[in-house]
Amino acid sequence: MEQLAQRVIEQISKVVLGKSREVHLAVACLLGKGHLLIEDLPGMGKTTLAQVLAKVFGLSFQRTQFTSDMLPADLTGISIFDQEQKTFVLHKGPIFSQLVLADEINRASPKTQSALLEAMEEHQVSIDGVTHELPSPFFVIATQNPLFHSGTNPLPESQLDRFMMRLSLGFPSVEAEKQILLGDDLKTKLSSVETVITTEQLSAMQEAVATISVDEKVLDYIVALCQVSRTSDFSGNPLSPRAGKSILAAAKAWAFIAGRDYLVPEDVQAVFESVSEHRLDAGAFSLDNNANLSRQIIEQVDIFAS
Amino acid sequence: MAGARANFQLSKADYSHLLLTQAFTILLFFNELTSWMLSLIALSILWQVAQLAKSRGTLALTINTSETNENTSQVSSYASNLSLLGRETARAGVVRKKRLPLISRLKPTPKLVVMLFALTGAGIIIANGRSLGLLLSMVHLICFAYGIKSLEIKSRKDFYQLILIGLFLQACALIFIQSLWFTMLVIAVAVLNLGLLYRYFSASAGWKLPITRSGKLLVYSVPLAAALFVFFPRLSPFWQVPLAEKAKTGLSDEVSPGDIANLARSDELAFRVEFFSNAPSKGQMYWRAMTLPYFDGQSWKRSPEGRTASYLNLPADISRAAGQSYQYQVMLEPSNQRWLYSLDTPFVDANEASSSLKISRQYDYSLINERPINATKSYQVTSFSGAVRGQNMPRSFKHFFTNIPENNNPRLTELGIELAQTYANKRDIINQTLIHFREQAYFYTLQPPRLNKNGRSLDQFYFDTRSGFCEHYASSFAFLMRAAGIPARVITGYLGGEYNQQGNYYSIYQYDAHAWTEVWLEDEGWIAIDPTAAVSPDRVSDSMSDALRQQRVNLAGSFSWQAFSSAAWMLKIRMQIEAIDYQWNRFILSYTMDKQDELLRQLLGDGRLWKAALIIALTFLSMIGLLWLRNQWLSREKVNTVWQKQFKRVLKLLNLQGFTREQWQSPHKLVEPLNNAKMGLGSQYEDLYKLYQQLSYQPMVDKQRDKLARKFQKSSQGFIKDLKQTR
Repeated sequence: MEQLAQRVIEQISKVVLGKSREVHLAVACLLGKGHLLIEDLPGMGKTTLAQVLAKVFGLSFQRTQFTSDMLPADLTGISIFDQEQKTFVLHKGPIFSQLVLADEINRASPKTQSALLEAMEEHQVSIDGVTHELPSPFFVIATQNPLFHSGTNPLPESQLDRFMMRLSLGFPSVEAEKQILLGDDLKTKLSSVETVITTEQLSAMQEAVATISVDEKVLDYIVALCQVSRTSDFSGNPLSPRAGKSILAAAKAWAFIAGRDYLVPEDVQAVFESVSEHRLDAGAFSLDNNANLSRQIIEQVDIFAS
Repeated sequence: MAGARANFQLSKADYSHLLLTQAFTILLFFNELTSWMLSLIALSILWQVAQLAKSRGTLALTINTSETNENTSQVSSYASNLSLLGRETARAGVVRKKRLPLISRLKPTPKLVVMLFALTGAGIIIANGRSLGLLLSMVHLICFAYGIKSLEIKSRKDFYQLILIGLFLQACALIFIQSLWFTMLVIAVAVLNLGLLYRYFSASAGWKLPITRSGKLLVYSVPLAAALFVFFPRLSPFWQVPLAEKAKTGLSDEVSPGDIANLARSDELAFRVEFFSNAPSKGQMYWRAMTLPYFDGQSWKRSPEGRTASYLNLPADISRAAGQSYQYQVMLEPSNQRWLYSLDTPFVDANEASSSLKISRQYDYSLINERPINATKSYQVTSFSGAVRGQNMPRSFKHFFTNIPENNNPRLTELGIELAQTYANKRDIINQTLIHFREQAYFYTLQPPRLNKNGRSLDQFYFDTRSGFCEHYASSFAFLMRAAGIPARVITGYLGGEYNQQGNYYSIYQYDAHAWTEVWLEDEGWIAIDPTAAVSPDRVSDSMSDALRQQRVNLAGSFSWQAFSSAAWMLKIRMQIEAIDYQWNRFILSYTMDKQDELLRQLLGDGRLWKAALIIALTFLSMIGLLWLRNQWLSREKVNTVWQKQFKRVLKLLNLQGFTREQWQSPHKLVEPLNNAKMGLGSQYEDLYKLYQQLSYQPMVDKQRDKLARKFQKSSQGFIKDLKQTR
């Protein structure tokens, strides 16, 4: 099954060039049953990554462009009166797909943001008093522009916490950029990507990730990292136990991709920045000082502490 | 990096360990080496210490000058710079990948210096060779070679050689002293020496590990050593280790007033006695060493100078063994003299014939060995207190024992003649003299007034100064008796002893030395008379140390062991320590070929040889079996910690070589620098770390873990070895 994960990553890397680490992390996030927040400047390939993920995993996919005038119903769907049948019929919104791409989430009003985030947490939506289960697996990829861009509503801490990881792709390397310039357009590239995995296989992989064994020493390491964020001389927000759970889940997925059935501290280190940074800086994202806070924490904990 | 030979390097820690071992080993021979040789070796070691210090000092100096030119308080800044420097270079090691100065490339010692040392040493040995004798010359030679060999360690072979010679020397040190405490010291130095080997291979920087490891090794070897000690054939004298010749201690074979008083200031142990029967009271314990029948006008001697007196060939004549009998064992300290000690009239026990001593009894009932006593020895004796001795002494020999030089001590001679005229009964003459000593103002003192050496010293003592030590009384009494026509002679030996409760034995020290007399009476033979007892009965009934402690304390000035040991608890501790030493002497040192023979006979009956071989083989096998069991047993719990320690050691070693990482960083970080710097080591290290991770974090059953841990152990050792080879 690890080979499967490797093949998935191979396929994605065909489209998202020179971003091996980010691709690995995104796959880890999906295998860890978490939602992904991609934050970067426009045109850096956020959408491409989301699309190719959907394609590779063979998931039903809906893309929604968030705008400031968007209402929650635009996302969840509405009941419309059917003249012939004389009943209200639910027209499901884009959220009823296995992979939802919420583009530029921070352009929408907080109300709409909340609707999405609620669905992410509960795996269900209520429309007109009726609760509807969302499909499984359910995976949200949200992208957002940096906060200093005009017309953005920052996500509050509580909602940021729902995302397992925040990634930023960053500028491609010279080599990769040259390839991008010469390459086909997105559509042709996407068509070259094969769906290598079934929904059942994805579920099985997610199960396998959950059963990765964790030594107490690694748990100690994770707790130690969280503890550092809670000390008084640390400037960022403290990490919640939910953050800790996310770290563990992501690290397990990372170990799975690496082909191991046990967790090592290096797995934790690999995912720590992506999982914790948006919780630590509470969305105060700026391109130049990213990764500062999580790095501070890591540097304070001996990897052999336990 | 040329060939491995040229590459041989000792780390700084290795080198200081080596020098320390050398210094301690040489110190074991402190008494044996001439001061010239000692200072030469010390010089060689100091030279190396200086070289070692220099290899650190130069670097510190360059940085220091650049920073503190204007600083007035140079000393303090120098110190702080040194500590700064440590951190600085540690960082620099990462950035510039420069080898730290920790693995010192000592400059090879200039050939001229080595030559100078070698020639000087050879000169010293040649110059002293004649006076030193063969054994000591050889000891000098090997000590010297050991001391300067470290000047030119070019290859690993040289290093091994030094360790081996060190072990040999440590064993050699036991030729000279075999006491328990010295043996322990020797063992400690041997542990230090073996620790050096351990340190070299483990590249550990501290002291704890090398010492504990080699100490453990030593403990493991104890059963084998014990088996070999008991069963290994004792070699015939031809193969025995040479015995060192040393200065004679204890009594000398002539006594003039003042001799024993000097001896009485010595705390040294003379011998120990264990009684198998009832012990006589302390006042009865006159340990005879020798008789001094010849008076030359100044001193009492065994025989006239230069010739053997005919009386020495008299048969020991004993009418019957009568009176109380005492059976006891005497354990001698090496005195390098021939005589042995016994009570009254001794009979050497028959089974003592096989002992390593060749004891014979003299005409005067004293015991004498064939050769000087130069090691701790023991013998068993039965003494009879009531035996009549020399009753049938030929008349012709009587004049030997009444002979006094003419014109010597005229006043005493006159007094003797007068006494002989006054009293018909010889008993009365003796009693009158003793009464004279008792009732007149005679004093017993360690600091007798100085007497003239003009042949009138006994007169001077008897009539004028009237204070003296035992030999004064014995000499003058014997002289007076001879003047009165009674055969008399002076006996030297020891009186009393200190009872050790823990060990149930008596210790007789040099300060127990004593002199008394024997007079010959018709029908009674030789009887012992102690004139000192008449003057100072305390001396006889109490031990010497009691009687004269106060005087001795005064003599010694501020502090002395005797004064210190008078505290009750100190006395107890001292007794305990001495009891241990006694048992050591009794069971270990006196385990001779005969004793071994006897033990084997008792244990095995006949056909001893193959049985002994069987026992040795069984011991070996059972030891191997025990070791195997121990490994099995320990592997469970130990394996879990050993590999962790081992990996930390690998990291430490890498750190020393400049492959550093921060505490939080994954050890995996070092793979790339290693690959860049050293061929193939990176992947080796990566595999090692993978194993470590598996051991640490992967769940598995114990058996699998043990297997993996062993694999880890092996590959980590291989890695350390490779790492060292390429340095």
